[in-house]
Amino acid sequence: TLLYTIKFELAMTLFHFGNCLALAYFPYLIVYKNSILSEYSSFWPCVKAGGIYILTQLCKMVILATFFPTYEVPLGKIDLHGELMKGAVELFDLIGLFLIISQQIGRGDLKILVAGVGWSMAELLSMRLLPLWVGARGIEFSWKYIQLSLEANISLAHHIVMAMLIWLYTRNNVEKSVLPLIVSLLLLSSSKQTLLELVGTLFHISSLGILGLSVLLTVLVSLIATHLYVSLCIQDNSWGNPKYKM
Amino acid sequence: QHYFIQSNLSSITDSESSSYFLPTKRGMLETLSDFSRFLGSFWGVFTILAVCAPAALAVHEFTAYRMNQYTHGGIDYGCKSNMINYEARPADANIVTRRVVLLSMGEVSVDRMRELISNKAGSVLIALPNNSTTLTQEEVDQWSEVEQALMEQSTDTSVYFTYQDPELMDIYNEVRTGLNSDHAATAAAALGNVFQSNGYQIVTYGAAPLPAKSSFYTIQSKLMSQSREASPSIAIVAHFDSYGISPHLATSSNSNGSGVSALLEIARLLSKLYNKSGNVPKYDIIFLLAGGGKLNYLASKTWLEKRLQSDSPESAILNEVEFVLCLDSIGKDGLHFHVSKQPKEGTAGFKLLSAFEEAAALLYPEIPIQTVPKKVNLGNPLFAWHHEIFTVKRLSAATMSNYATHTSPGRLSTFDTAIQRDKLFAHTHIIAEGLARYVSELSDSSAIILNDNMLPNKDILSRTVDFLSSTQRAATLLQRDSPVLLSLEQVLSKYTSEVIVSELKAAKRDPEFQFYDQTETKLFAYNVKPAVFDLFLAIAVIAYLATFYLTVKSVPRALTALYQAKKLKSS
Repeated sequence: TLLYTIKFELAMTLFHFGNCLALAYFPYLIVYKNSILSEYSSFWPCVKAGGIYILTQLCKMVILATFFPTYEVPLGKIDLHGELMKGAVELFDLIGLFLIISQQIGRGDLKILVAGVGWSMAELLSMRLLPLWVGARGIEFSWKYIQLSLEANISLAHHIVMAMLIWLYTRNNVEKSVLPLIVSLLLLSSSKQTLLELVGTLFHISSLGILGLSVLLTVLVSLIATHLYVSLCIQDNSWGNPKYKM
Repeated sequence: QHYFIQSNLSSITDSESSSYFLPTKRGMLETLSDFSRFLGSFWGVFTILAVCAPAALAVHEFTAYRMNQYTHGGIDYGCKSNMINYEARPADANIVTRRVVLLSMGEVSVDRMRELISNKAGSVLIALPNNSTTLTQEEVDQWSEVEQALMEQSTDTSVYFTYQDPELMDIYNEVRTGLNSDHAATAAAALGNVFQSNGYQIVTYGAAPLPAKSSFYTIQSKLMSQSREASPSIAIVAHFDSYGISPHLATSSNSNGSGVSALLEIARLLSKLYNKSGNVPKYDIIFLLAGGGKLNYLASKTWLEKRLQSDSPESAILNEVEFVLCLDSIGKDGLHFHVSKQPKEGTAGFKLLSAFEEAAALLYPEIPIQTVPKKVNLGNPLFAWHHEIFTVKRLSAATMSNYATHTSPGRLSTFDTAIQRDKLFAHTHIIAEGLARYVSELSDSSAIILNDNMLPNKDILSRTVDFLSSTQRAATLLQRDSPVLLSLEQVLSKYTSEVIVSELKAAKRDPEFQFYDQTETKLFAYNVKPAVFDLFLAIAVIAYLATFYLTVKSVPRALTALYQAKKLKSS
């Protein structure tokens, strides 16, 4: 029975890892399989999008390291200068997404989905998979792994929305009046992480609260973006194919 | 346009039928492996950096001390195991197998401990108070009973002791008031408990205990008289090792920190007497400090046996010994002269006792000296007092102690941490003066021999006791270079001569005594969730994924509806 209980305990820790992994990964699978991504066999375009994500992150790291060396900040205080710089560097994400979208040929909504899903999938694998593997299998329990998986979900929606906004921006038949709105939404989205961290430290919000705010923000932006998208489609008269979520 | 929308719907249903919800297992693995191959090598460095950034896990790490473990005469005593990788349970837990029971000192009783051990508890962790001076004498005595009950047998339950620190007490309180399904009233409450409750897994990463180097040490020295012929001698003996329920918890201030301090002070005073010009006493004085006093005086016993072998060169030291005086706990109220049989007039014992009584009458008339005769119980393998070692070898001997009986719990207590310093001073004075009188053979019985600069010093006694109390003296942990040995050697060298430190190693084959290692270890307390938690989490995740799937499926319809509404509005 000792061997049985040891095997059982090992299985239990893997079970938690499995739970978190499923929570993080299956939504991507659901979106992939149930959207035009699967129809157009977009596997390699998504991988290429992921590649551009990596390059973008590398550039950001190099720039941060070169021009903005970090120094110790006491806990609780905000390094305003550093945070502003980090937020500024986040704009590179927009450049990255733009590259992905402009590089593709095909339907608008496919471009958006490839960019959004490919980008956030790469983020999932690089930023979230290893912490899950290392931490969720351990004896010590922490709510942060479930939180990490939920963040992966939010990230999926968030990047699809951002891709949508960038695509809208690139369209030449978009109304001039909505361009500032699009730009401001993009700036808001790209710096979402930094903003939330600042707000969290300032108002001492728990990590769960920050998660909630993140969801709220993403939902808000996605509603506006969807409206803009549909309006553009009306103008284009190109509602020829089924659209998918945000 | 109508046709357009129609084709919309048909395309939607087409894609619905052509897609399926879950990909095959192989497909998922393929995707994963492709991604990981592509990203792993290149991105691995950065992710490792991210992971290695100090993300403090809330693991509580603390030091714990394992209960004594030794083998004496082939029989095991104490706890044989150091294994601990169990879930924490409170004191009143019913199921204790493969669990560690957390107890605070107050919750420990002899019955409960026996119950836990007979129920094969995986481990027991007892939290001791940091400040032992807050304990009442009753609590200390009760604790001594528990210690004795624990040590009377060997157990497979690993017993650990640790000091209460705030984080540990938080864990202890959570475990004690912890919600678990045993106590839940309704199913809904039990469900809530699963998500809220915090379990703790206590783990050690230490290896299994192995036999450790088992040696005893004795320090002997001599204060020599000036005469050329063989001088008669008298021996003063004290054991210097300490006892605790775990070797790291041993203080033993009174038994026998007080005895050792007294012996060193007596050495100092008598050396002054011997260095004074004039009537130098014709007696040699032998001093013996022995380890192993808490383990049936094995050190002195072996030392004595070696010395008594007629062909050994060291046997000369005991040739002319008239009497052996042992000191064991003289730091509290009461002075008893323990002997194996009442000293008869004309014997050395009688002479010494009279000297002590005279000294007491002169210096401290309020302190009586009680003679306590007790025959050596040859049937019992354990010796009651130190002097019995010598008595069985036909040497006259006695033990001076403040305890009236050898079974006093104070002699073997982990919380032997305080003495009465004025009592130690008075008793040391009486014994020193009595010895001086014995070796001097004075004519005027009203004169005090040790006077002026030969008076004992209270400060020196205090400081020595404090030093001994705070230095590691447990027999199982002593090494040749332990601070206590070096200090004792040094002090004796100052006042006496021929200081010899002997090491008595346990025999390689069939040793009488065997010690074990892993006496001190780091324990980790991990926050864990009950097993069903993951099950419920899985259900929640599946529910979420189902909702997600349905949402994704319904998006096309929603978007189409939005499109149509907007189109109608704009047209």
